[in-house]
Amino acid sequence: MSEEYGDAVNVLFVEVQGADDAKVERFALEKKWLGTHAMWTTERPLNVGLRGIPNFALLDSSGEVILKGYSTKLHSQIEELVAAEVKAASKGPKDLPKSLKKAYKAFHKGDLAKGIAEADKVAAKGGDDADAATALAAELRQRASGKVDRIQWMVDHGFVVEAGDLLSDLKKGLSGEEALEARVEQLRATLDSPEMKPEMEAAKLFAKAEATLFDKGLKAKGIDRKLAKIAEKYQGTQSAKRAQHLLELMKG
Amino acid sequence: MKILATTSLALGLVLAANAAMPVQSEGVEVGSTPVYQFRQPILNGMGAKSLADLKGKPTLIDFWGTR
Repeated sequence: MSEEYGDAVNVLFVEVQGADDAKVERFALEKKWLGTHAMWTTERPLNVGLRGIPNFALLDSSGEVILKGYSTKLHSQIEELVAAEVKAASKGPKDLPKSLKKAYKAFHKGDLAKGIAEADKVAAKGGDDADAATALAAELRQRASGKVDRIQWMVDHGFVVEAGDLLSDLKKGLSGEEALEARVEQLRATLDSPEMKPEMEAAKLFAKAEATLFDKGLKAKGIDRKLAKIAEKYQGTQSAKRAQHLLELMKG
Repeated sequence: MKILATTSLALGLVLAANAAMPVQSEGVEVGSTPVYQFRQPILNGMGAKSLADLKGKPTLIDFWGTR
């Protein structure tokens, strides 16, 4: 699913048989399951209410549960619903008033500030949809802020190449939302600073090594030497820590 | 002493009953919007810390095991 839809769908795998995070990561690495957009955790964010596994819950774009059950039994229903939800994601929740569709669509397209402004406009007009518009504007602001928070996280944890790629789009999309624009500017300045140069270099090399490892699995030739070199040469960077982590994972 | 023995027996019975109960109970309802804040970073989550962070796209949560 993650391969088919890329980042249009969130896929979250939850290990429920008591494995720790390292075991899950190594397991996924051995199976060559890493390297997609899929996410992994050992925490249960919700309870489906079934004993056997695999089981699942499918949430729509607003976070509402739309289907749950055993994954193998309901496979075609999952596929149908996901396809429908990917298509519907730009339109917003089913109960969204018509006057707010434009706002939601703009936000979903990446015009975050425009989406927020449209919602504010509807709220300011008053009338029947004013409350819904105020709530939507607040939610969109929170989601926009969440996007900036996640880029901050990426910068702090060495995902600087990915952060840089996202920042340009985000800057465009947030034009007009001053507070968030300022945060994006600050993040850009951090990434462009001389202090970030080693992290950037390390991150680029690490990204290549990691991609090879995910593609070829644990038997990827010479990958341990490449990771060890990054860990040594760029000691102190987040990418060096990530390289070291993978080396430890590979040892088992 | 009798009260302590009785309490211990009662506690033991409760614990045994809980161990026999199914691990899962009712579960989320279709139509509900669950809320959860992750305590640990999600692998490949790129900073996502809660279910709310995943809004804006459909989310498939798959429960599986390594055994």
